[in-house]
Amino acid sequence: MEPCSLGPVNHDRMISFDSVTKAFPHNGSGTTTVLRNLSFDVRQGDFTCILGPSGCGKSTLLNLVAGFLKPDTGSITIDRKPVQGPGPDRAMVFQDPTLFPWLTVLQNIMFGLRRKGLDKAECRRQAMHYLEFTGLGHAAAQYPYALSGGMRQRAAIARVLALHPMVLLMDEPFSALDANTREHLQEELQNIHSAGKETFMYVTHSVSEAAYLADRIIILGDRGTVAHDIEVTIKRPRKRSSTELLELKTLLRSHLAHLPCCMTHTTRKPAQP
Amino acid sequence: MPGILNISGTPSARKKTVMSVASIALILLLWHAVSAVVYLQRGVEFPGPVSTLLRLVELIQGHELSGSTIMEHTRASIQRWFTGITIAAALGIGWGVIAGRSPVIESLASRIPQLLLLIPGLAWIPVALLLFGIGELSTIFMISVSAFAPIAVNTLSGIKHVDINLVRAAQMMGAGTSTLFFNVLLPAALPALLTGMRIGIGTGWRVLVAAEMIVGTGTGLGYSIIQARWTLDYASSFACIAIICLIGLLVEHTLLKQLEKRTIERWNLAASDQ
Repeated sequence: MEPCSLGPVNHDRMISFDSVTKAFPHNGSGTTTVLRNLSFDVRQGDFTCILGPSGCGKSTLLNLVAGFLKPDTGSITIDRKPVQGPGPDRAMVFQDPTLFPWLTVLQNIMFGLRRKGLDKAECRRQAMHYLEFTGLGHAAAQYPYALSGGMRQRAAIARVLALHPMVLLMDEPFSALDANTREHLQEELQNIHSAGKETFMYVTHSVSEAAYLADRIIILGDRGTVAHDIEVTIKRPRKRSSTELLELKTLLRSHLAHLPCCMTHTTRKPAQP
Repeated sequence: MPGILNISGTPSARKKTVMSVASIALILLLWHAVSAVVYLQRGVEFPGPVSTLLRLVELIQGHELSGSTIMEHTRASIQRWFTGITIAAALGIGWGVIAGRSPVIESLASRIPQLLLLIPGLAWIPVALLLFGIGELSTIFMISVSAFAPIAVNTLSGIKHVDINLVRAAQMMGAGTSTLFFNVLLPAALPALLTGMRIGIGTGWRVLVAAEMIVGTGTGLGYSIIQARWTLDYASSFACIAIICLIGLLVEHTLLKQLEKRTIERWNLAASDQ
């Protein structure tokens, strides 16, 4: 992995949420508050898992960091610079791989590199490097539909690694895969994290996934506030069946059990006359 | 009940060929029957498949029809068609992409193609005559205005249904506006866009023939059909109709099918389109 040449970074406040509130219009008659007055900082290089029941605003949180959404109030900064919009310094791996179906796997990886203004040969070389790195060298010329779900997600990971992002955002990337493939990819992701300097922000609803991957687990609770903030100090590489991991999972489960599931908070506007 | 369901799936290629030959034979047979019945009942010479084919061969060999050879008529029609469709495609796709990306423009302008869809092609004749008089421009105007609406409506729906995450992925990788349009939105909307083109091309072809009959200028297949009628040369009229059908079939089966094979089928967009 090549280092990001983005100047000195602020190690403690790589990603910083400052009193962020986000609400969505709801059926045209009111708003649903997804995040309320949320503040926290993420250290550079940390693997942070965002855990919480569905509807608690996990994905919204990632979309805000990615710049796909703008907060209603408050601010989000990356390395002390406010997020202005989407950009290659914060790369997202979506739940569905969202590769461009009209491009081959190689062309998909090259897409972002081309946008950086590199010439075609250099793009191809770098793209091949990341495809080899994710074990997809043999599939470079294939179209995404010809790949299995796991291979597509690998390609999506290769695509974001090629961007040399400071921050890697992952929105339940392995939740649609079978258990075996999922564990495989989790291991590889752990290796990528250990080898590089990227800061990971990983949204999941799976307790075991969070326990296995995270340096830190933030459990989002009522209206997208931080309910629990847990530092995970279990040594890597972790063993899925180790007692420490089982204890952590038990703790996480008991935290989650105290949170309501499927939360929605709708403020209705009075009916228009 | 294994015997009831046809598990083997698609029929073999040979069976398909046999069936399509049989269906063409059936059409020719019906045509022949109609011509025979008309002759018996009304005593009028109604060109059947054989006399039409013979006339077609004569025309292809260079017999003039209302002042030009059949090749010249065909070329004139195809040229007008192509020009009209090109204008309609440029405007329709442009309109669809812009309206698809801008809610304001969409709500302002979405009724234009919806309204145009309701107007039959021939109803444009007075408008065309007022705008351009009799001649080339009127014909091209009628083709463009009739083909624009289906292309615009389908492009808009295609653009609006592009997966938001594809757009986000492109933006995340640093795609600017023009990259987003040409490298993401257009290919993603291509299935809908091709559907619109197919309808537009078909509509344009039908309108062309009708327009040439009325606002035409001495060439074209539609013009020939009408002229041949005045001279009671019905076999020539029928030969022209046959050419019109053949060109329609050719465009549908070679051009559009090939385009779809090279794009939608190759990327398997149809399956992942939802």
